[in-house]
Amino acid sequence: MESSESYGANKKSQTDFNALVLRHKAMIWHICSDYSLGRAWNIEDCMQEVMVSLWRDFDKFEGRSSEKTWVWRVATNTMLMLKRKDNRSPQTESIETEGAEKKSNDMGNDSYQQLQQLIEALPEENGIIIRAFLDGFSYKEIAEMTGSSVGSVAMRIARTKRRLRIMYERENNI
Amino acid sequence: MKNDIKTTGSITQRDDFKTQWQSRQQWQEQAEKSVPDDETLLRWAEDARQTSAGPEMSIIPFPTHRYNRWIPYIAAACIAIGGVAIGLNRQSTSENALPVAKEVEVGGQTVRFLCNNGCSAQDIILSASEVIK
Repeated sequence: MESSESYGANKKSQTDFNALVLRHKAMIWHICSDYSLGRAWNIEDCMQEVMVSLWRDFDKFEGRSSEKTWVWRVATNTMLMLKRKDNRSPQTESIETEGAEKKSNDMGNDSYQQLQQLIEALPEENGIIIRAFLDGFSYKEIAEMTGSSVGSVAMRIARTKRRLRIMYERENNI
Repeated sequence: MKNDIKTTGSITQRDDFKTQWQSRQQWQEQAEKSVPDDETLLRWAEDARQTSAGPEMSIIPFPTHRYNRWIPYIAAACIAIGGVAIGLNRQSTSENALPVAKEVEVGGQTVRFLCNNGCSAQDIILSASEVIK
């Protein structure tokens, strides 16, 4: 178990952290919503999990990549970690006495949900790349996030799009 | 739908999936409208900091705003490490975030459980015994 010192919380202030959270709140929220879609996850819980991860890594952020791509990566990694845990754990019934909701998890429309299901069926790394692409990041930014070259990212995106199209056509008997 | 998918070309490089892309964008815009207000977010940010930076003891960082939901997991984790868990509630503020210690006996071991939302020791015991079963 890590000690509080290892989080480096002393070097950067809570004020900086608060400002970061507010700057990227919409992006963090939609990443949480994105991964929560179709799962009985509480988006607010996910958001808080992401905040814990962001705070822990906050001091390690050195500005070599853009703040936005760093936040995106930490949030995505947190959600992937939750997803992996979820896939490993047997389904249990949680005790919720406050009428905890499954709100928002079904807010997607059909087209979006279908796209989401197809993305979920991709290998994890391709799913990450295509989500970043759909979130509007450039090839260069995606390369930074994933530690790949720009050429490799471009190739993977093109292949993943082809694959998604085939999956879509198969699913819809086109 | 079929035509949209088959479309190639000019509008954006993403128009292989134009319909889906647009629906994703719409969905994102809709999702972003439900982002909690800044005050709530800042409270969570404070909780994240408090959860991560505890005293010298072992810390189980759980953002426990759905407190009851997490009790069995926290209790189980307490047992596993024979240690202490701190539950911080998202309702907490920096003024009242100092936890109230409760000692409970779980599975023959005394677990010191710190919480700040008025959760009773009895609640923890009941939940923990469910986990032990």
